[in-house]
Amino acid sequence: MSNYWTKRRLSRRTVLRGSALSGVSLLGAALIGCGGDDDSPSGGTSTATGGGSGVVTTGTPAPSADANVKRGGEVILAGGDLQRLDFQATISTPTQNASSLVYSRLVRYDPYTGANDYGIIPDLAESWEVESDRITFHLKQGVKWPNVDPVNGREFVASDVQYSYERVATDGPEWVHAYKMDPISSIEAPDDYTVVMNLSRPSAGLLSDLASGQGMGLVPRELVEADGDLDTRWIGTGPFMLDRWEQGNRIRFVRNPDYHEDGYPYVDAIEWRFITDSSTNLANFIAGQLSYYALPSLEALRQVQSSTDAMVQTFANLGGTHKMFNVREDGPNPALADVRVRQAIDYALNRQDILDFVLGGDGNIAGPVMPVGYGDWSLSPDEIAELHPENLDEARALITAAGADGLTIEHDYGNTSAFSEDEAPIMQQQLARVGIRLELLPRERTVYLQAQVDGNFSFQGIGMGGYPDPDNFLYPVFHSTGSKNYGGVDDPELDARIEEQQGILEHEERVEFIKNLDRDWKDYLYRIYTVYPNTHQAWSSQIVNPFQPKGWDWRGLQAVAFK
Amino acid sequence: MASSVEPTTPRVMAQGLTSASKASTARRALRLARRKPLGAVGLGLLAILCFVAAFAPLLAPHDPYESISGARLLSPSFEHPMGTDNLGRDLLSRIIHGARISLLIGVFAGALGTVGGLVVGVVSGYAGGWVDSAIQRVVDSMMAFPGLILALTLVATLGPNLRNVMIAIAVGSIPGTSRVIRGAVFSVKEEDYVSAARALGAPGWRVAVFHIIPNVMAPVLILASVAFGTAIIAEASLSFLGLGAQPPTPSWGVMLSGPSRRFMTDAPWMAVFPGLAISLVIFGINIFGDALRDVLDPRLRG
Amino acid sequence: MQIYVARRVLNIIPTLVGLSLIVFLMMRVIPGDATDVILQESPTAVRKDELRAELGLDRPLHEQYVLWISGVVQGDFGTSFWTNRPVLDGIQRTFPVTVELAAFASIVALIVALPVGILSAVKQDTLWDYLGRSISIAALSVPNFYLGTLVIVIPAVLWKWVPPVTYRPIWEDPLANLQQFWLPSLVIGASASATLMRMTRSALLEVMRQDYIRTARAKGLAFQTVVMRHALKNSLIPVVTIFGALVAGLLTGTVITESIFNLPGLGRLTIDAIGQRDYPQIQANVLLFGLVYTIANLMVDLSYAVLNPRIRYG
Repeated sequence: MSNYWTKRRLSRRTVLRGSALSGVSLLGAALIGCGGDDDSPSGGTSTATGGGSGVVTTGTPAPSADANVKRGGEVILAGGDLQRLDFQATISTPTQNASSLVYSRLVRYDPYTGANDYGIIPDLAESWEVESDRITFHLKQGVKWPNVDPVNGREFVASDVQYSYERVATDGPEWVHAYKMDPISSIEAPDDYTVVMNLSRPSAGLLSDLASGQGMGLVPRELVEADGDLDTRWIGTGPFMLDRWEQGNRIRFVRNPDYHEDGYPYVDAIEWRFITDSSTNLANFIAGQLSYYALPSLEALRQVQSSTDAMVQTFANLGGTHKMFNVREDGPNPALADVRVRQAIDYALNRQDILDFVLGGDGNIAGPVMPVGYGDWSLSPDEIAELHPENLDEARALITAAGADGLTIEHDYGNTSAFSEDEAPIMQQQLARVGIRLELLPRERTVYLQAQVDGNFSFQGIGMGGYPDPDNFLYPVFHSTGSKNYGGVDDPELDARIEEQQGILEHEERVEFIKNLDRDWKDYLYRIYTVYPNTHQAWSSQIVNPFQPKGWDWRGLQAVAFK
Repeated sequence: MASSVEPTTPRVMAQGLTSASKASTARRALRLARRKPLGAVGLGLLAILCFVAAFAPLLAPHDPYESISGARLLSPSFEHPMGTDNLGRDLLSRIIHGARISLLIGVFAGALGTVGGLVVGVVSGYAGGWVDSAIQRVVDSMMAFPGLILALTLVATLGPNLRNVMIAIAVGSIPGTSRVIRGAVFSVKEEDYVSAARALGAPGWRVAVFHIIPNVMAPVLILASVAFGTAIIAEASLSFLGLGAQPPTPSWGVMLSGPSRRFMTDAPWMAVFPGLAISLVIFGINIFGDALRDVLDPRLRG
Repeated sequence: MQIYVARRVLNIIPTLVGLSLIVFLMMRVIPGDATDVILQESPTAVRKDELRAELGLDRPLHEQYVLWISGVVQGDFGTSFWTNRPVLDGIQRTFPVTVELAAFASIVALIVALPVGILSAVKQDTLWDYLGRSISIAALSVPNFYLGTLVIVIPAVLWKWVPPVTYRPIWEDPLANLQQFWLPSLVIGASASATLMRMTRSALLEVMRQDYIRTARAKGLAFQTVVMRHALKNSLIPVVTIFGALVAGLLTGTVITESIFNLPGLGRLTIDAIGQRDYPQIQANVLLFGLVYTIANLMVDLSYAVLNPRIRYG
């Protein structure tokens, strides 16, 4: 089995360079190698057809449009309210999630692999070739925009892709996804079904970015020209159409009868209800009002397991709360610019205790930049524990060596972060053991955001979600020109390493590079990572074809049905 | 001006107070307690609150801030009579220390608000004329501002911590309090002893301090007792919205909001006990205030 | 009478102008602004200043105020910073919810409070009185949100039942609407009825001790007639006052209940807008609250004058 598998992968690799191959979920059974439960094309698989991305998938085989599946019904989910509808001009996660139902992309993530496996499969691009200076996409033919004004059922063509991404790249403070287009110097449409993106530099993560539901939906020019923006109407080639958005209440989608993938979607409608209160959410799921719910805690999981027969799944969350240092020499606490002080803090923490108290043991210990469970990219939990142990003597020695005895550090965080609220007092106790006084400063969220961007903090708790590509964890945050480098990191050596990994298109090589960077993270420590929570999600037992939402992509709802 | 809520005339209340002070205090108190058993109960509850608050460090079995290893989310037991919270802290100890904070909030925020209202009300009522009109304009506008939202805005401006919460609550209650006091001042202003003092040439502020204020003490006391309770609930509400005292401070409001709601189904004691504590204290304050009102307003006496 | 009414109505204007100034200034004093929130977690957050200029937040304060107020007078309340849609959209969507909640809660309060209050007064100092007073004080003492949380979570765990969480306007789907509203109405109505009950009781007690009531009883009129016809009518004044204050308070104070029961009302919109520093939305909402409050007061004063012709304020 493994021979067959390895052979296949090798041959793919020689043909395609720069395939944005992301990791394989640790929780899926097989790593690179056997498994035997995936690529066999039974009833439609999740591997790419035609030339593809060399995706490696494990997990359940994907469903195909099956005539025996019962059609109809409404899927109901809970989530936050959208800020505005124009997903290219906002960061709002609910907006991005919603856009993935109505708008197609060039490529998308495979929803039937593990939660942290960002394997790429085709969407409107049937195949593509990745080279170091350009990516060429071959589009599916015969896809039509809906038969409404102003598109009137015309065919989707290459110039639509051009237009969409040029709009994403608009220069202005609100165009928050423009930076993803940075590696692209120009987009050409040599014919109606071919798109060529010329790159200014090789980018291992670009394909992954294009697959994400974040701002990458393909839009028709006529709509934007008619309305001025995407805030009023939504017209896309996706499986659903926007029915209505009742702010503060819900957003509702109905089936797109002209969807280009025959047979899909099965359900008549999707509804996202904006329920902000977690105990209300839980109560609603238990009472059978929601089809899916991402459970906020182990206790909620137990409650669901004891009260319902829902299908529950647990996996490592790639998102968590990092502790960010302001390392500017002229910052509020210059002592933190000394790496020894930061190392001391790292040594003084007992991550197991934090895990036990704050999360009830429901999560993983962290330390290096890449979280546990991030496919190939992660170091093993044992190695992480070895690299970031608790060592009070070492901590004290480092503090003295740095001349920082009796140090006081202000730890601020947004007061809506339940995690920080719980973790901060524990850290306070732990750091006190080595003579560091941690002052806790919960801030109103908006004030906290302001302080973050303006650099008015010393040691701040900052939440960050999971991203499909390791570069997302590195470049924007730690590169001296990174757009989210709030801590003022200016480390030429780290800059060089980050730039280097961006250009490594060969997967194995890149994995090793990233891991070595992680092993050396103790020398940088611009952010400290303590623990990451697990995520639990529950699907109602009435649901057929549950999938894994990931990367702001909820397209899997097209194949969901009711028993 | 008819927009104030005044169920009894302060003038009459003032008379009741002065005549009552002639009897022996202790005997009077005992008589009252027997006649108004509910009021006595209320006072008792408040006395317990004060006692617990005063001796909190001695009474609490554990450190309210200490996370005890392996003690996460324990249900009530002999070791932890009220259970533990999600960070392994003993709930009973937190409740006991929380009494301090509640007492602090009730007294300071309540007192601050009442004193502020007293000053504004006396100045406005006594000065009359355009000063009164001007102040009332501002008071009108402030009263039209929804209370919770006003407090929220103040806390957002100053920063969410206990001290600012007390300031915000106090400021929020000043307009309403000043209205009632102003009405009382109007009545007292016309009394003979006031005219006499002025005829004797006493300057305005002397009259205000030595003659007006003592004679509006009845409504002031009632307002103060109400303010005490309102302040405690206001703090709990603000904490619920995330803008009150901040964790890990063991204020009952904080304990009632955040984590207790997250763990509601798993560890209901986290919310039950703080909620019970707040409810008991407010209950005590309310029935005590009721009795106080009955006593100070002789028209309602039997 | 007409002059009095006219004067009171005109008085609303300076009150609202004062309110507009207060809210305008207060908002700008709070640290942080809309750009911090709109661009949160965005890579373009460092370009806040550009967005600030787009939103007009870099202009001098008096200019911003004049711009806003002149729009208001013409009926244009501006565009929300957050949603990019007219501010009135938000109000149109949320105000009916709050009104409905306040209305139902008021009805609950009336239905419960009046009979209990009357009974308590008539049977003063008996067991019924103590019981009534204790229960109503207990209802007052339990924090709203505590009660609300209990009321949602306990049935969910025990009986797998939750109140519906999606709002349907009452004119669209009355049944679904009532199914959502009855529980929060009860929760708020409980504490409102407690206040009203106590006021009813004390007002009735006060009136019943009046000389003319004693006279009527001495004349031998049935107790029932005495209470119903004479005492009640005259005790209405303070009850009306407090009811007016209650309604005004309900309309402006439903924030927390709206959060717990997921009602998309004006209170919640305002709290969210404050967090988002959405100045146009906040300012418009507060003005509306102020208008509601002052109109409620006006109605109370007018009913004062109607109920007791002896009360006239020149």
